[in-house]
Amino acid sequence: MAHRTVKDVMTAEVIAVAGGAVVPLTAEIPATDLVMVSSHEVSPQALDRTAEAIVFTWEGAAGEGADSPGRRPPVPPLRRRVESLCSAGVDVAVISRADVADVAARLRVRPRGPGRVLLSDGRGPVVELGPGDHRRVHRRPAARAAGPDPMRHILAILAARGAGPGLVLVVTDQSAPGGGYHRLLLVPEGARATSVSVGAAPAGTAPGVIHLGGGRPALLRLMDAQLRRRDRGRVPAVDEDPAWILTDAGHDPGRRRVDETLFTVGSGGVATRGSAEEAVRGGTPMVLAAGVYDGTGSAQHLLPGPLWTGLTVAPPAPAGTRILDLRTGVLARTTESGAGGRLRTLRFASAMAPGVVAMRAEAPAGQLRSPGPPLQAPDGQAGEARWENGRFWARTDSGCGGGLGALAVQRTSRDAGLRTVQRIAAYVACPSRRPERGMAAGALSMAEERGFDRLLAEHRAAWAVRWDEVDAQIPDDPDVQLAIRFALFQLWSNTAATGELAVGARGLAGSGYAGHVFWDADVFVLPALVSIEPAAAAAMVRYRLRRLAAARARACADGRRGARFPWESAASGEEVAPSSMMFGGRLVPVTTGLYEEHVTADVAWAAVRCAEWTGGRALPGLPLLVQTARYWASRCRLDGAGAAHIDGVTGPDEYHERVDDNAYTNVMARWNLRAAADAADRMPVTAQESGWWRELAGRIVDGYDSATGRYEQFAGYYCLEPLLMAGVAAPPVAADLLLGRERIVASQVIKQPDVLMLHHMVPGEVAPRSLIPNLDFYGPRTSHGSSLSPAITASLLARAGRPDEALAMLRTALAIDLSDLTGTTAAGLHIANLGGVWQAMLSGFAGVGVQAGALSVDPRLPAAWGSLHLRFRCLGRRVRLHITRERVEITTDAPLLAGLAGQEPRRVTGHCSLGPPGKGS
Amino acid sequence: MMEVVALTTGADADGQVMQTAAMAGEIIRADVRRVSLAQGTPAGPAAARLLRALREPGAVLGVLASEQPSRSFWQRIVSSCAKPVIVVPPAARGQRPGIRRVLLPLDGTPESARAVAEAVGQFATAGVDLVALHVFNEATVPMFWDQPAHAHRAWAEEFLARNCVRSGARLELRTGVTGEHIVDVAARERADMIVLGWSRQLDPGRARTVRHTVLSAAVPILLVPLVVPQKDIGPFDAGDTGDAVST
Repeated sequence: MAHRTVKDVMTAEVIAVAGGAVVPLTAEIPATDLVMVSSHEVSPQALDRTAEAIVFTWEGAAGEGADSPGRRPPVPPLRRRVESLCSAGVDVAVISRADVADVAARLRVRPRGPGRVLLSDGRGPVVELGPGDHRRVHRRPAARAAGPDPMRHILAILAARGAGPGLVLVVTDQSAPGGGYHRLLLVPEGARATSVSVGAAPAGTAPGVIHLGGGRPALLRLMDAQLRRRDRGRVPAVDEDPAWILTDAGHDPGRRRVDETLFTVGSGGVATRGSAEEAVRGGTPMVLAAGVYDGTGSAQHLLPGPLWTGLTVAPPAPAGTRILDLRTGVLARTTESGAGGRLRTLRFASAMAPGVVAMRAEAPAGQLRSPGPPLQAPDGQAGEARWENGRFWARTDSGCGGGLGALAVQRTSRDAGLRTVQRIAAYVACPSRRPERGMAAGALSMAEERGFDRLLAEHRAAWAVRWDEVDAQIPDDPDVQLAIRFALFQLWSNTAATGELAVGARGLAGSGYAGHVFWDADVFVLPALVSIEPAAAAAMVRYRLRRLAAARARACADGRRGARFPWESAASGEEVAPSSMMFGGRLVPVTTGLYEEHVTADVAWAAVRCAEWTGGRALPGLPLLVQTARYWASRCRLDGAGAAHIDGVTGPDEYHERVDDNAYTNVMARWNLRAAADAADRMPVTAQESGWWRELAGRIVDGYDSATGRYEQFAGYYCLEPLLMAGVAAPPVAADLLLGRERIVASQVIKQPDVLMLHHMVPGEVAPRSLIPNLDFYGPRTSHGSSLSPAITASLLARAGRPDEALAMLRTALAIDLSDLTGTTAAGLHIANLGGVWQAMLSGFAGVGVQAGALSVDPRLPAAWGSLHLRFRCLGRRVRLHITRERVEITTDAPLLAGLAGQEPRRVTGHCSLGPPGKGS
Repeated sequence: MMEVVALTTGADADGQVMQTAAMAGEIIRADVRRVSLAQGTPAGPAAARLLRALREPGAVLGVLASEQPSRSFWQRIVSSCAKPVIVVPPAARGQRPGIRRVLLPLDGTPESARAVAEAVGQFATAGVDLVALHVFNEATVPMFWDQPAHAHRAWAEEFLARNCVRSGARLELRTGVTGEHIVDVAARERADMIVLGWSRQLDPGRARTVRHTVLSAAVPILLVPLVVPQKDIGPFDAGDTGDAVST
C-alpha cells in the first residue's frame, strides 16, 4: 500500500498515512516536507484546543476490546500519558463495557493529581481515583432513568470539578450515526464537547464528530498533543456556555472602559480591570487592593498597584472577542492578529490561592513581541521595581505608609510558529506598611511549583465549589439568571474573606468614588455577602470595629457620647466626605458628611445582621452596638412632653437635607437602642444605662399615622409640594439635575426609598401591614435617581405581593452596570447595586428571612417565572430552595430550623418539601 | 498651502473678521485670503463668490461677520458650505487678540464629537485651553446621580474620554436651555471662541442653539458641519435676487 508522509498539525510530528490510517513511521517510509492533505488524515483546527478533561472508550479508542490478551496493545504508554495528564490538572475518564474493577486492574494507573481518573462501566457508579489511596464513588443520581448513562454522569462530575462540556475531549472509536454504543457518548449535554473518532468510519461520521482514525496510536497522539500544549504554554480554552458567559465583540470603542470594568477579575481583595493586554488609546488598566489607600483627607483614593497583564503586540491587533466565563472565573480573548494567525489570551485571579494571578498569551511570533518585565508601574506612581534571581518585584507606595506589591515570573516559548507568554504573579497588599518582596515569595513559589495548568485546574474547581453553594437558576428567564450570576461573580471577585474588608462604592473595578466606604457596604453589600461568603461579611464587620476609636473621637468632637461613624470612610475611619464641589459654575456645599448620620445605625445593623445570618451565639460587633447606642442616646433631644427627636439630619433621600425627625434615622436609632439593650447582658453596660436605652427608644417619634398607615418621611414633609414623578419624567431620573435644587427641596419628590428602607431592613420596627400604604404613597414620588434604589424597590414590591412590578424594577437594577445606565460604569462597578439584586432575589422574590435561628421562606414568583432555584448560605448551612407555584422544597447539608412564613419552623434535614407556597406566589 | 477665507464688505466689522481669521490661521497654520465685496453686491452673487472661494481645495475655513453684508447672509453661507465657518458677532468687536480658551459645547452624541474632533485637536496642539460644556435637559439628564461630588467627577471623566479626548480639557455641566448656557458659560469662562458642531439645517424650528448663540454671543463661533454636504452651493447662486449687500 502506498504511503504518504504528512505533518500532524497538532504535534508537528511527521507521520505516515496509508489508506487514510496513520501507521508507524519506519525507515522504509521516508519523511518528506509536506503540506496539509485532508482533514481525515491530519488533525483539523477544531482539535487545536486545550482540553481540561479527556473521555475515551476503553474497548474502542484504547483498543482494549480484543478477546485475546495477547492482541491488546501494551498498557504502559497509555498509563504514563494518563498519569501525566492528571499531573497537569487534566481529568481523564474511561468508559468501558468491562467492569470498572477489570479496567482499573489492567490500567493500574496512579494519578498524582490534581487531575482525577474516572472509571465508568455504565452500570454501576463512577469510580474516581486520585493521589495516594484516594478513591471516591459517584453514585448515579436517582433522577436518572434506568439504563447505562455514563456520559451524562461523567459530564456532571467533570462540571462539578470546573470542566464544563466545552472543555472536554471525547475520544471514541465509533462515529457512525444512528446507533451503537457511541450513542451513549454523544448526548445533548455534551454538545459543546469536542468529539473525535479514532476508529474506521465505514458508515460515515455523525454530525459534530471529527473522524481522525488511527486507533489507539491516535488516542496517544491526542494525549501527547494535550501535554505538548501545556508544555509550550498554549492558551487554554473556555467553555462558551451562554448561561455563564459575558461576551464583548469589541464593536463599540465607546464602551471600552465600561467593558474593562465588567471584565474585572479578582480574588483575595486584589482585582484587575479587564483592560486589553496591549496599550490602547483610552484604556485604563488598573490593579487595586481593598483597604490600601493613598492621599489624605477627602482626596484619599485606592492606590493603583503594579500592572501584570501588559504585552507588546505589533502591529496592533483588533479588540477581537472577549469572554468572561463566570463559571470558571477566567477572562479570555481571541482576535485575528492580522499576521495570518490569532492572538489569544487568558487570565485569572486564583480563587484557590488568593492574591495569585496568572495569564497566558499566544500569537504569531512576529506580532507578539518578546515581553519586557512582567510587571509595570502605573504612570506617576512612586515605588520600586527590580529583577532578582529570575523573579521581578514591583511595588507602588502610598503616602499613608502602605503599598501594593507583586512578585512575578515569566516564561516564553514557541509552538507551531506562535510565541507564547506565560506569567504568574503573587500580590501582597499592606494598608499601613511597605510590603516586602519576601512577603510574596512563598505564594509565588507555591504557584510556580504547581504550574499554570494545575493552578488553573484548581482555580476552576474552586469556582465550581462556589457555584455549587451559591447560585440562582431561573429556567424561564435566562437573561436575568445570567445577570444575577454576574452580580454574584463580582461580589466574590471584589471582596476577600480574611482580615478586614473595606468595600468601596465601586468595588475594586475602578477608581470611581475613590474606594470610599459608604452605608452602601453595610446595608447593601454585607447582607448579600453573608449569604454568599460569610467570612467576607465578618471581615466587613472587622473593618468597622477597627475604626471604632475614630468614630468615638468624632462623637466626642461633636459633643456626643459613644461612636459616630463617618459618611465616607477610607483608611483611618475619619470622615473623608468632601465639603464642597463645583457645579453649575459655582461652589456648592456638600453636606452629607455633616448630616447623614444614619450610617451610624447602619453599621450596627450590619454587625447584627452578620451575626443573625451566620447563626453564632457570639456577636463580634457588640462594641459597635454599645457605642452606637450611646451615640443615639446622646443625640436625641427630649421635648417638653418627653418625646425624643433627632434634629438636623439627612436621610437616605438626599434631596432633602438637614431635616428634623427623619423617619429612617429615628427608627434605626430606635432599633439600635433596643438591639443594644437586648444584648446588654453580654456587655459591660449597667442595667441603668440599658434601661434608659429601652425607655428612650420608646420615646423616639417616628412620624407614623395609624389612620393612614404611613410614616411621614420627616417633620414637615407633607407640607411640601405634592409633586409626583408622573409630572416630572419617567424614572429612573436624576430629578435634582432636571428640576434644580430649589424646586426639588420644595417638593415631595424623593431620590430613593427612605421610609421604605425600614420595611426592608427592620420590618419588626415598623407597623404591621404598613408596607403597602407607604409603597403606594412614596412609590409615585420616587425618582430612583440613586443606583441603590431599583434593587431594593424590587425587593419591596415582591414583598408587597407585586412580583411582576418587582421583576421590571429588578431588570433595571441588573442593567445598571451591564448596560452602563449611569454613564459611570467605566469608573467601577456599582457594588451596592450588585448586593441589592441578590437581596432582591433572596429576600424579595424568595422571601427568605432569618429570625431567632430559624429560616423562613415566603416566595413571590412573577408570572414569567415557573420556578426559581436558589442556593445560598445561612445559619452555617448550605441551603437550596426550589420554588414553584405548587411547592417549596428545601435541601440543607445539616439540620436546620426552617418553615414557610406563618408556619412554625421545623427541623429540616437533607431534602424535604416545606409545603405549597402561600398566597401571592 | 491652506487658506482661511475671510469675507470683508467694507463695514466696521471687517477689522474683527480679519483679526479672527488671522488668529485662526495661526492655530491651523494657514494663510489668510481676503474676499472683498463691493457695497451693493446682491446677496446671491455675493454668496456665490464666497462659496466658490471656499470650495477651492486649499480653503479650509471661512470667516465672516454675522451681520454683514446682511443679517441672514451668514445662514446662507453656513448651510451651503461643507467646511467649517467662523461667524463673528458684532459683540466680538474689540475682543482681545489671540485664542487662549475655547468653549466646546457637546451634546454627547458620537456625531458631534467626531465633527469637532479635528478642530479640537488643532486647538489642543496649539496649547489652547479647552472647556467642554454639556447641558442636561429632559432628553440628556442622567438616570442616576449618586453622591454628587463623586458622580460629577466620574461622569465628567467618562464624558470627556468619549467626546473630547484631550488631556487637560475640563467639563462644565449645566441644566436647561443649551443656547442660553453656551453664551453664559462662554462669558463666565472668558472663552475667546465657541466651537459648535451642527447639522447645517436651518429650517424653522431647527438649529435653535446655533441661531441663539450667533445672535447672543460676544465671541466668534466656529460652526463645524456634522455631515458631509450633498452639495457645496446652496440656493444662492449668482443671479438670485435675495438681499442686497448693504452697509
